[in-house]
Formats: sequence, structure tokens, C-alpha cells
Amino acid sequence: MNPSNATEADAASNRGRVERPETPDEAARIVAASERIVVVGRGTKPGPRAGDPVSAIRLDLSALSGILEYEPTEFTLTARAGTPLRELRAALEENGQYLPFDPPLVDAGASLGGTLACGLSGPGRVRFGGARDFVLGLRFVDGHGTIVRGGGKVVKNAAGFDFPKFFVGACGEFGAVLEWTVKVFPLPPVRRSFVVDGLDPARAVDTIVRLTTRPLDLDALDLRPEGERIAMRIRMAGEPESIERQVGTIASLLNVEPAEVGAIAWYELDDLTWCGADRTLVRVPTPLGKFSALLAAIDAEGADWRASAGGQLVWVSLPAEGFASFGRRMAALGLTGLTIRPSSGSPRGGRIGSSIERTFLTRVRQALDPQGRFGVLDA
Amino acid sequence: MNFDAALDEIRRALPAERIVLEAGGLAAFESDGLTAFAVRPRAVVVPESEADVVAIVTACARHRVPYVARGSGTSLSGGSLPHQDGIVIALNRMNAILRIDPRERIAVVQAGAINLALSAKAAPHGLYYAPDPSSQQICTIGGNVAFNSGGAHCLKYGMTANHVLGLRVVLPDGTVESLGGESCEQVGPDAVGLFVGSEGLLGIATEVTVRLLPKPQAFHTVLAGYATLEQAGDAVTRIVGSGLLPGALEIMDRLSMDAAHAAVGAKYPAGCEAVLIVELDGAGDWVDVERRRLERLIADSGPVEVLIADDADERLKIWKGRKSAFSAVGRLSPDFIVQDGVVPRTKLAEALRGISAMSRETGIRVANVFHAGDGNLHPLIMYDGREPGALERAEELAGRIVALCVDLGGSITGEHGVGMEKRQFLSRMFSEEDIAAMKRVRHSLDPDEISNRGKVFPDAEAPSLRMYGLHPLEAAGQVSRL
Ligand SMILES: Cc1cc2nc3c(=O)[nH]c(=O)nc-3n(C[C@H](O)[C@H](O)[C@H](O)COP(=O)(O)OP(=O)(O)OC[C@H]3O[C@@H](n4cnc5c(N)ncnc54)[C@H](O)[C@@H]3O)c2cc1C
Ligand SMILES: Cc1cc2nc3c(=O)[nH]c(=O)nc-3n(C[C@H](O)[C@H](O)[C@H](O)COP(=O)(O)OP(=O)(O)OC[C@H]3O[C@@H](n4cnc5c(N)ncnc54)[C@H](O)[C@@H]3O)c2cc1C
Repeated sequence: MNPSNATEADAASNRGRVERPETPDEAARIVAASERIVVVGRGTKPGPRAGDPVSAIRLDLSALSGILEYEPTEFTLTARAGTPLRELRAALEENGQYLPFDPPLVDAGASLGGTLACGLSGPGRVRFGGARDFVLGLRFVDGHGTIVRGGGKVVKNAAGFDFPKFFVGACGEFGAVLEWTVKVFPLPPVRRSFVVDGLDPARAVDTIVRLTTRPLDLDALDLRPEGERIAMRIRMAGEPESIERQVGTIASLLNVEPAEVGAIAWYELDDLTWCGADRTLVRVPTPLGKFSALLAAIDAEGADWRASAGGQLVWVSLPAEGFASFGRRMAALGLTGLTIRPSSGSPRGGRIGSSIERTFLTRVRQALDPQGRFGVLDA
Repeated sequence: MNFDAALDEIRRALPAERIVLEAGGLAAFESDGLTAFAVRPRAVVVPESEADVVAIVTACARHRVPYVARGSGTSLSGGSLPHQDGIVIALNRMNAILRIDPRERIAVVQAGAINLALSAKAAPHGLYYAPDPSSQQICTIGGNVAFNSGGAHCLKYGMTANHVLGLRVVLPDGTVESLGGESCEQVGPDAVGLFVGSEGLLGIATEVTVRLLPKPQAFHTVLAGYATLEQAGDAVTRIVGSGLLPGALEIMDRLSMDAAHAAVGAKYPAGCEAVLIVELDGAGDWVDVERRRLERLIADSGPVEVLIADDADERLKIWKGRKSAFSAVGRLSPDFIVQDGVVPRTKLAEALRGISAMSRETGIRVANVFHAGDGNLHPLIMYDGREPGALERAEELAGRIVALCVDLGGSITGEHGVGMEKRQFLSRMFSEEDIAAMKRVRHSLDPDEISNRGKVFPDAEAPSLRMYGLHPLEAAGQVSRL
């Protein structure tokens, strides 16, 4: 899989320009004048676009950065797509608020645009929902080089097609997003984390079912391997007194006293640092019913994993040489994954597993990007 | 267009008793919940399976015959109004609840399934389907999907789009495909998100996969009366700003209280210009703790009187008054228009002042009942359709209110959709380029505009207006609305 020296040399000579627009209009002009474009945010997730031609122009949106409107009392925020999440977190925390979909890679420097383009949510999505549930409006440049606005700036709006939702997970296909309006929430007064360990896959799934079919203030429900067993991490959020009582409920539901751990336990999963540079990092959504089968496929590839969202999202750290065979295993399970980071030794990336490209998406592409300027990801 | 050729093809696919052609049968489908419009379709066909839908749509596509999917026809914006040259595809027989999976907390239903029937079926598992439009006894999940419908509880739980995980759709060329899946997370552009709320323009949903939530164990419902509407609005800002997230946060003004009192005998504190209804729901422990915070917040907001529902019965009474408000307004006025504008929450007071100034200036009475938590107004503009010019004056006022919402940074519709009624306002919210992009998407899937032709976009011709008023089912006392 390693690119030969010859291709590397070719790539160097043939390398696409980097364009760094400073205004939305400039971004639109660049798109209109370019045959093939790869949108670049802040460089934290090279995986989705690892397979794009090197000759493509890199549309670097890092200069389109900054908060445009933030009304804490409205619980809405509008920012340019290149804004680092770190900046948003700081502004929000000053007002006791946060992004409830709990995006990962904040400290790594991820941008709002790149995060939503990959549709990434973090452990905290269990409480109120994922990235798609918090987008209200956007402005994007489509493949015609036109700036289009979709959605609105208020928390409820049913007018026009919902382009904002559509662009969540689009990975730079269909257009380059210039600006997002998102819904934010107040930070919970306290969070407390607990661990239940020594579970096998079936027990783990059972425990998830027990916890999620009751109205509990769960804030996160993650799983990770621990030798041959699985450890479950539970985070509760809300009023101290109410959490105290719910911990009691959980203990009686599970017949074990969950052990309290410090906040640090969430850090590793939030930041994805557990996946080495020589590994490919793939994000795989799954219904709970396929969780055990997916774990078996992961084991068969000698891969490592972490699961989030009550087992419905699995992050897989894959040995470079396992990319193709893991893709086949996923397709057999009817699952599709997204490469977040390619391994240092292999340029493979994009989507993997079962294909999602069918008539509906093809037609929308014909409407928004008929010349294919923004490319089409595999699968 | 060749209607007869399309009909011949449909006749080969469906038995004659599921193809309605005679005037009497067609009349029932002339209007939806927006009774100001009425159009007689050429035919109504009743599919019983996805294969039937494909056969009908394929015939329509081949012969360029416009069609409108119809659930229960409760749209308040004329979304399911027929086309005079076209076919109505009535989905009510495709109402099966195909699967409830309590472990995954999902349900798979046919598009014609009734919203409330789904919650009833999920109840034995301790689960329910959260989006609760007040038409939920009759409206279909397919109609909810097409309009991204909301309800009193969307402040905390979100709209239909937040609960739909997957769809099976028949595209306007007859292609069938699945969008989304069964996981709460997904890979790739959110095609489900784009389809939901597209008002039947991008195709027909035949199957819907939704997520179910654990039923709340406890409720705490409070009704607080205020001397002014503005104080009630301030209380909303306080509550939301405190970080409490109530299941519902609703305001009624004096006129709607009077109407609810006249209609169902609902009682409200004397000397109040507005009442605020707040409901906390969730785990018993949570509600117990949060109610004390709520009590402090309300006490600090200067209410005239506070009533707390002590039991399920009193809670239902509070909601009965609230939910009857729309139909109750029918007692104060022979006709009325329901508006559905949204303003930023902090502009609520300004919007209400603007509306009451317009009402004084025009002499037209306007009652206000609204989802205060998310700034979704429902002004009820009253008029007498028998009076010459009254409908037009009421419509003009409705238009000014929509314009006010947009000027304040809001939206022309929060949950009832654009449909027929608000087409001319779409361009107040979106530029020509924005609308052109939406149309490109539409035309790419449906070059001949056969799927719900004439809706959403501003340029199409409007059929003539009749009158606004109660939905026939409301008049019969079968449904009420928020
Ligand atoms: C200056 C520069 C030159 C590069 N040259 C090459 C090269 O020649 N060959 C090569 O293979 N790689 C190159 N790369 C790396 C590669 O192009 C990027 O890593 C890749 O495009 C993903 O961008 P990202 O890492 O910034 O992603 P993130 O910001 O993490 O974004 C993740 C994904 O979202 C998309 N995205 C980000 N922001 C938006 C937005 N606002 N709207 C729509 N989609 C968005 C991105 O395309 C990407 O797929 C270059 C990177 C840089 C910074
Ligand atoms: C008394 C009353 C109270 C109401 N309260 C609320 C409320 O609280 N909140 C709220 O949001 N709305 C409310 N509504 C409006 C209405 O009930 C909703 O818009 C509802 O979702 C419509 O469902 P329906 O089955 O009646 O759809 P219809 O009116 O039959 O159709 C609505 C639209 O959906 C399209 N459609 C229907 N089925 C499909 C399908 N399977 N695939 C694709 N397109 C389809 C139709 O073409 C049409 O454009 C109320 C209406 C009434 C009369």
C-alpha cells in the first residue's frame, strides 16, 4: 500500500494549489474557477479525503474563522466554518453553556466545519442528541460557485429544504460550508462518572438496554475493552441531589455498585489519542443489535476499539493492512464506516463497507455539484 | 400529460374499488386542514403496499400526471391540497406498525400509521414516540415526516426530524430506496434529514424507522397567571436561562383564556392578562428536585397566582384548556386564520407588542396561544367570512405578522409548513439563489414537478380562497389543536 517513490515525485510536481480565501465571496470565486477541490478545515481529520487526487486545489477555510453572532439568552450561535472548536468552547463556557453533541478533538484544534462535515459527536451525545440534532442553519458554496443559505437562526423553523441537516456528514461533498448556526444548551450543574467492569459483550448489551429504557439522566455511556472483558463508563449529569438518587436506582437495576471515577476517564476517548499513527482510525455507527458481531469482526482483524453512544458508535483502530478485509466484513454486516485518520503507512481513506451512494444522493449531487468539483467519496 | 393513459396503467395494478373517480368520493379529498382552499382532484387511489405506490408513481411519472400524497389531510398550510389535473394517493390503509424493538428502542411503521397508535403500541414496553402534534389522534407519521411536525413538547424533545432514523421512499421516478438506518449515528450526508420536512416534493415515504423514548415516570405541571403578557414572557426567559429544560412551556393570552373558558369551562386566575403553563417531566427523582427550582423561579417572576396540578386529573384539566384554545376561538368568531411564525425567544415581547398594535390599528381581534419556549407564535386572527372583504383584510394582517417575524430574525413557519399558504413568503426568508438551489434539488429528482406540484415555491398559481375556520373534525369535536 505504500506509495512508490515514483508516485511521490509525480505528486510533488502535480500538487494542487492551496487557496486560502479571506471572504465568503472569494471562496465562491475560487470554487467557480476550479475543476476539482478538496475542502480543508484545520487538519485534524485527513481520513475522509485521503484518497482524493493530489492535483485537486485545497480550499483552506482556516481564514474564514470567528464567531459571528452569539446570543446566550437565545441559546444559538453562528460562527464561520473554520472557527476552532476551542474558541467556541471558551466563549460558551463563559456563559455556562456548551455544544450538547459534545464534539471530539477540541484540543487537537478541530474546526466547527470539519467536525460537522464528518458528523462527529462525542460521548455526551447520549443526553440530548448528536450533531445533526443541533444544526439550525448554514451558508455554503455549491458546485456552481453560488453562495446558498439554508435553515434559519431560530431554534424552530420548518421553511424550505433542510440543507443544514443534509450537510452534516457530507465530508466536503456537495459544497463547502462557510458558516453554521447551531443550538447550544446550558452546562449541567454537575457531572459524575462511574465504571462497571468485567462484562462480556452480551452482558454489556444487556446492561445498555436496562439503562436506556428508563428515564435516567444519562450523559454518556461508553465502552472499552479491558483484557478479555468490557468496561462500561457511565456519566450522569444534572442536579447533585437528583444524580445521587439516580445512582441508587442504577445500582439496584444492575445489581452492582458502580465505582465512581474522576473526570479524566473520559479524556482518552474524547481525544482519540489511543489510536497510534500507524493505525487507520475508522468511525462505525451500528444498531445495538449488531454490536457484538462488529466486535467479533474487529477481533478478527486484530484491531482495537472504543465504543460510544451506548454502543451505537464504535471507533476502530485498524492495522494498516486490514483496511480492505475489514471493509468486506463491514459490508457483510450491512455497516458503513468513515475513515477519520489514515495510517501513516497507507493512503486509504474515505468511506468503507456497505455503499450509501444510491439514486437519491446521486440526484442531489447533480443538483448541487453537477461537475463533481467536490468529488465523490468511495462507498 | 396523459391522464387517461396513467389511469389505465393504475387500473392494471390496483383493483377498481381502490380507485375513486366519482364526484361524491372525490369531494372528501378537496380540502385539508386549511379549509380556505378546495380543489377537486381527477382521481383518488388507495395503495395497500409499497408495490402499489410504485405502480401509481411510475404511471404518473411516465405520463406526467401530478400526484399528492395524503395522510389524514390535517395540514394547516394546504400541503395536501389536491391538484386539479392530478391524483391523490391516500396512504391511510398503509397503517401497519411493522415492528417495535424495545431493545433498540426503535419502531418501524408504514407511513399511514397514526401518530398516537404508535405510542399506544409502544406503551407496554415503557416507551413512547415523543413528537406530539395536537392532531396526534388522527395525523399520520408520513404527514409528520413530510412537515417535520412538532408539538407542545419539542422544546425538550425536538421535532419529527430528531426522531426519524430511517426511511423507505418512492422517488418521483418510481425508484424505491432506503435512506438512513437503525442507529442513532450515521455515516454520509443526512439524506433522511433532507427528506424530512420536504413537504412531499421529493417523493413518498412508505416506511419510517423512528426512535422511541422511555416514558417519563413523573410530571409536574404548573399554571402561573401574570398581570401582563410581557411578565409571562420574562418568566419564560428566566426559566430557560436557568438551565431548566421543561418538557413544555406555553403561554395563553386573555382572549384565548376566555375562549377556553367558554368552550371547556377551563378556569384561570382573575386579573391576569396571560397564563404560563410549565411542565417538567422525566425520572421521578429528577422531577422532585427540579420542581423546587422551578417554584423559586416562578415566585421570583411576580405572578398574580400560581396553580399546581396535584394529580393526573388536574394536569389533564390544564392541558384540556390549553389544547382546546384553537377550536375554542371558533366560539368567539365564525372564522379565523392560524399563523405559525417564529421569533427569537428574546423578541417574544416585542413581537407580541407589534401584533397587538396591528390588531388595534386594523380593528381585527387576534388571540395568542403559543409555544413560548421556542418562540413559536400561533396568533389566531378572527374574522367573519360573510362580511365582504373580511377574509382579505385578515389575510393581509396575517401577512404583516409573518413579515414581522422575519424582520425580527425568525421564520415564516415553525411547524405547519409552507404548503400552499405561505408560498409567497418563502422569498422573505430566502434569496433567489437559495430558492434556486432548493428548486435544483427538486428538479433533479422530479423534472416534471409531478410530486406535490404547486406547493412551497412562490411562483405557482393559487386556487381561489374560500374560508378559514375549524377543520371538519374539530367542528365535530373529534380533535383539538395547539
Ligand atoms: C495546506 C494543505 C495542503 C494539503 N495538500 C495535500 C495534498 O496535496 N495531498 C493530500 O493528499 N493531502 C493534502 N492535504 C491534507 C488534506 O487535504 C486534508 O487533510 C483533508 O482535506 C482534510 O482536511 P482536514 O484534515 O483539515 O479536515 P478537517 O478540518 O478535520 O475536516 C474533516 C473533513 O471535513 C471536510 N471539511 C472541513 N471543513 C469543511 C467545510 N467548511 N465545509 C465542507 N467540508 C469541510 C474536509 O474536506 C474533510 O473531509 C493538505 C492539507 C493542507 C492543510
Ligand atoms: C386540529 C389540528 C391540530 C394540529 N396541531 C399541530 C401541532 O401541534 N403541531 C404541528 O406541527 N402540526 C399540527 N397540525 C398540522 C398537521 O396535523 C400536521 O402537519 C400533520 O403532520 C399532518 O399529518 P397528516 O397525516 O394529516 O398529513 P396530510 O395533511 O395528509 O399531509 C401533509 C403533507 O404531507 C405530505 N405527505 C403525507 N404523507 C406523506 C408521505 N407518506 N410521504 C410524503 N409526503 C407525505 C402531503 O402531501 C402534504 O404535503 C394540526 C392540525 C390540525 C387540524
